[in-house]
Amino acid sequence: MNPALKALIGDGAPDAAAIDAFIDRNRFPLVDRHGVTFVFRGEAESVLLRCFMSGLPGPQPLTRVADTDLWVVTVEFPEASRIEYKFEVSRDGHGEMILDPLNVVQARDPFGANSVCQGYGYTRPIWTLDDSTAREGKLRRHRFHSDAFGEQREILVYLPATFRRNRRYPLLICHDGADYVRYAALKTVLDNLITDLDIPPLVVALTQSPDRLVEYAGNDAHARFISEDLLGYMTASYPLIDERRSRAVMGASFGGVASLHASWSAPELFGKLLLQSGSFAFSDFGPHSRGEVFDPVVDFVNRFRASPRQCADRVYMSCGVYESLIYENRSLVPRLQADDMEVRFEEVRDAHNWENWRDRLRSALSWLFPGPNWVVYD
Amino acid sequence: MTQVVLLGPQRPEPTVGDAVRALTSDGETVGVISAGWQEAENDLDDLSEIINRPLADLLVYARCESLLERSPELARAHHERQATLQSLQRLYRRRLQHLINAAVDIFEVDDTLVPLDQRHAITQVRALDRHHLQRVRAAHAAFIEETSAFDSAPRDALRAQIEQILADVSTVVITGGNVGALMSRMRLLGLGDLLADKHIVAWSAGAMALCERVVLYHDLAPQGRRDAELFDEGFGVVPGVVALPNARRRLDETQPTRVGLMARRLAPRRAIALDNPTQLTLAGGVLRGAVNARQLTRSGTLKAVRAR
Repeated sequence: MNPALKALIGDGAPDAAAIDAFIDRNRFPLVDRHGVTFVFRGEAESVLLRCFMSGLPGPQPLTRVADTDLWVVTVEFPEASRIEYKFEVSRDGHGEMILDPLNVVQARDPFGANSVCQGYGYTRPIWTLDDSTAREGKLRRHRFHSDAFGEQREILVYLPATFRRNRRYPLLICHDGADYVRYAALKTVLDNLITDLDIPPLVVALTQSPDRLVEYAGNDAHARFISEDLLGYMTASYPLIDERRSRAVMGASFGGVASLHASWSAPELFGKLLLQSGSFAFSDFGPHSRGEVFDPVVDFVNRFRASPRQCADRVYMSCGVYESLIYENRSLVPRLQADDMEVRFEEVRDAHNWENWRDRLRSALSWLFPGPNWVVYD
Repeated sequence: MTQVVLLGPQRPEPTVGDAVRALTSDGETVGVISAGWQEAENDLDDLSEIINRPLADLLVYARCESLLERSPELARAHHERQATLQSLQRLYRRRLQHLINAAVDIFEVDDTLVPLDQRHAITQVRALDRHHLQRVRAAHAAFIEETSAFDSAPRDALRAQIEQILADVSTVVITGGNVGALMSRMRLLGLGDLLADKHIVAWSAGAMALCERVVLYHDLAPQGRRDAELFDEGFGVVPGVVALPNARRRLDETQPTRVGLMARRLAPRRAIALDNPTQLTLAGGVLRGAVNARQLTRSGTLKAVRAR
C-alpha cells in the first residue's frame, strides 16, 4: 500500500478532517515505485477506474475505505508508464465518466480530455514545454485547389523563426497537423528543437483531412493529394530543397497509414517516414476483426506486406506497449528492413494518444533530420 | 593593451552589446567576422541593433567562397584537406570511445590499488588526444605546403581588402555558429595574424576558435551522448582556457566521473563553461575578469571561475 495512504488508514477509519489533510498534502494519483494508487473522494454507489490502454483486464473497481467517502485502487504499472484515464462514478443507478477531480494533469484530444497518470520514473520532456528563450516560428494558413479531391483544401505551414526566402529548407508533411499542434505541442517542439540545433530549420506542411478515416485508409486520391497537389503547392510557394532525402511524411494512427501509403505510392519523392502508432492492421488469413472502417487499411497493408518496396531510406516508428496496435507495428519493422530501409523502432510505456506521440518527437525528428548541434555553437 | 572578451550564447540576454560598447566609443566602427553563420553571414541586422555601433562586415565566408570559385586548384586542395580532417576525426572517434569507456569504468572501481590505473587510463586518453591533434596539424601543414606553390595573388588581394577594413577598426566581433566553417575560413585567409592588435569580443564558436584547443561536445544530444572530441587547435589568442559554450544544455552535470575526466583530459588548460550571461575578459593573455563563469574540476563538479 502507498505509504501516505497507509499512514492515513493505518489506525482505522480516518475522520473527515484527516482525509481533508491527506488530500491537501498529496498529489494524486499517489505514485511510488511499486504502483499507482488512484483516489476518489465522494459519495457514490461504485467507482471504476477506466484506463485508456490495452493490457488491463477491464475497468478497475475502486474500494471504499471503510466508513468514509474515500475510494482507492492500486495498480502496478511498470516504471516510466504514462496512463490516461477517467473515473466512472455511479450514483442513483447512473454511471458518469469524469476526470479525476484530484488530479490537475490532463491531456486533451479531439474527443475532450483525460486525466493523466505520470507513473514512477516518467517526467514530461522539457523540450515539450514552452521555452521563452526559443526562437518562435510562425504558422501560416493557406488554401489551394486539390485536383485529387476536386475542391479547395486548407493547410497550415510552419516556418522556422530564421526563415529566409534566399535559403532552402527540408520539407516535412504532417497528417493531422492541426491536431499535432493542438494536442502534441508540435509548434513548441519544433521551436525548441530548432533553437537547440537538434534539428535543422524545417518547413512543415500541416494537413487536416475532413474525413480522415476514409482519406487516410490507403486511399489513392489522398496519396495523389500529398504527392502532387500538396507537394506541388509547397514547392511553388516555398524555397525547399529539391531532394528526396530532404522530404518526409509523418502521421499517427490512421495518419501513419496515410504516410506509408503516400510514400509507397510515390517512392521517388519521399526519403523519410515518421510513423507513430500506425494503424497497420492486416490479416494473414480470413477476415480481420477491427471493423469495416479498417477494410481498406487491411487491404493496403496486406498488399504492402505481400510486396513491400523501398518507399523511404529512413523510417522512424514508435508504438506504445499499451496499444492494441503494438503487434501490427512490431510486425511491420522486419518488412521495412527487408527492403533496405533503415528503421528505428521505439516502444514506450504509453498508449494510443497524442502525448505519447508528442514525447517521441525529439527522438524521431532528430533521427530523421539530424541537427548541426555537434559543430554549431550559437 | 588589447582585450579579448569571451561570451556564451546570446540567448536569452544578448551580452555582446555591452561588451563591445565598453571597448569602443559612440560612432566607432566595429569589425565583424560571422563566417560561422555560413551563407547567412551578412544577416547582421539584429547584431547591429544590439551593438548600436556601425558594423564593418569582413565577409570572410563570402570572400572565401569567391576565392575557391576563382581558384579551382586551391578549392581542390581545400576540399581534400577537409575530407582528410573528417576521416581523421572518424578514426579518432572510434578509438576514443573505447578509451573513454575504459577510463570511466576504472574510475568507478573502488579499490586501493586503482589510482595508478586511473592515472594510466587518463594518460591513454590524453595520448590519443595529442596524437589526433598532431595528425590534424600535419594535415594543415600539408595543405600549406601544397598551396604555397599556387598563385597567391587572389588570396592576397582578399586579405588586403580585409586588412584595409581592419585598419579602421580597433575592435572585432566574432560570432557563434559553425565552428568548423568559421575556423577553416579564417585559416584560409590567414586572419589569425591580422587580429593581433585588435580588441576581440567573441561568443560561443567564436570563443572556441580563439582558444588553443577546440573541443566539440554534447552529452545531452537527442540521439545520445557523444564523447567530447578534440577537433582542432584554435588560434591560441586565449591561452590556458578551453571554451565550452552552452554547457547548461550540453554538459551532463549529473555524471561527475565524466565531467572530471574531461577536466583531466584538458588540463593544464581550464575547461570553462560559457553560458548566458558568462563573460571572461583577458588582457595580455591573462584572465582579468570572470562573470558567471564556471570551470570543470577534477572531482566532476563545476566551480566559479576567479580571475587570477
